[in-house]
Amino acid sequence: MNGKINLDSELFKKIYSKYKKHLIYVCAIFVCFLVIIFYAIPELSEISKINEARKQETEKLKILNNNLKILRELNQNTLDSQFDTVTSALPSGKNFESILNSISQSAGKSGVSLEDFSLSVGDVSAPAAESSKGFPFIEIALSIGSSPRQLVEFLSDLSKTFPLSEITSLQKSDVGASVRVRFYYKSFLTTGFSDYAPFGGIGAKEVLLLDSISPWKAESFSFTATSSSGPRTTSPF
Amino acid sequence: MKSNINLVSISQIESEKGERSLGILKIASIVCVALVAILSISLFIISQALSPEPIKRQEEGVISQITGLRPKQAKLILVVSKAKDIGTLIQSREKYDELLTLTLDQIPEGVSIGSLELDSAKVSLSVTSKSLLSVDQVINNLYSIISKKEMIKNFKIESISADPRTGSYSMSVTGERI
Repeated sequence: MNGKINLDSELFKKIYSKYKKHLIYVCAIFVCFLVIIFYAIPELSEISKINEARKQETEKLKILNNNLKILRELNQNTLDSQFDTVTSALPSGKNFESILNSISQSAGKSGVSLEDFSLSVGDVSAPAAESSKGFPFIEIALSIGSSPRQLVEFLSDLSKTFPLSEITSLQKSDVGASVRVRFYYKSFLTTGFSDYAPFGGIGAKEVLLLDSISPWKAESFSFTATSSSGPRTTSPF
Repeated sequence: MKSNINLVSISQIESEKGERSLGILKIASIVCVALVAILSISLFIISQALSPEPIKRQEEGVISQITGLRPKQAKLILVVSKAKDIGTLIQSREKYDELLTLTLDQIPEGVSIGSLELDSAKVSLSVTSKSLLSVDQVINNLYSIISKKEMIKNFKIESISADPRTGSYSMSVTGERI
């Protein structure tokens, strides 16, 4: 028997004529195989990505709904009052009127006499100096005529006025006292905020804090009102 | 007689085998096509169902509602931020009224303060009295506040002097703040 096979067109024609009917079914199976390789398998991995994306969008929607709920439930009057309190306590800029007002109010209440004061504004071309706490400030040096107990009262009253202040040094002698006070302010950086950032509203601790300091604002402004209308018997000037 | 006489021709046997294999191939291809069709349609339906587009449309709706409340949102963010800062400031600032009260409380009757300096690093005090015992009392009181770990961690007597003309004693003290 001859073991050699000639690969010529006659052979292919023979194979084709013999397996003609099988060809279409083989092609169909081959196409199915291609569909699995090029569509089904990539689509499966695509579905897992779509599922991940859906989960992320669901989280974002949850955050948005929560933010909307907080905004809707927030009482506008309460928010306005809290806004007034925080912007008075820690103004966005240097508020000289409020500073002088708080000093004169505290002096009037405690009975000390304000002899002199100087403001330390700093270099206007350079960024504002910041305290170790990270807040910019205006420093004022005050010369006060008072007894020691009056001085205590003055310092206590000053600590309960707006803008918020802090004593950095104190010197008392026979002739009087000099006090260095820092009045803090802080601008609100408008770097833009994202709707997708969750905001939890004002916490209970912050609400308590604002409730405890809001009377300081009322006192600050009530002194200005009475001193402008009546005789200035309590004015230290 | 031979038992294995086959009256069917070889070509017929081969033809039957061919028919059988064709039948099997036909069934296999139909099954494959059906399975792949079902799989493809299922994958398509699943990908459409899982699409995040409807959720994104809902997000846009909520964002448009939040946009209407933008001024409120801005105020809220500012209040929350500033309230935190205010809390930090109030908690961290030194209470000089209390420090001054504490210092004055250490001065007994009959002793007058000549000078007093208070800052974040030190306390300097000079007192005058006609009684040395009262001056001693001041020293004891300062020891007592050190032991209570209030305000100062140590102190140094800078000077003690007596003025024979006035009959009074003066002392100046410096203490290091806690």
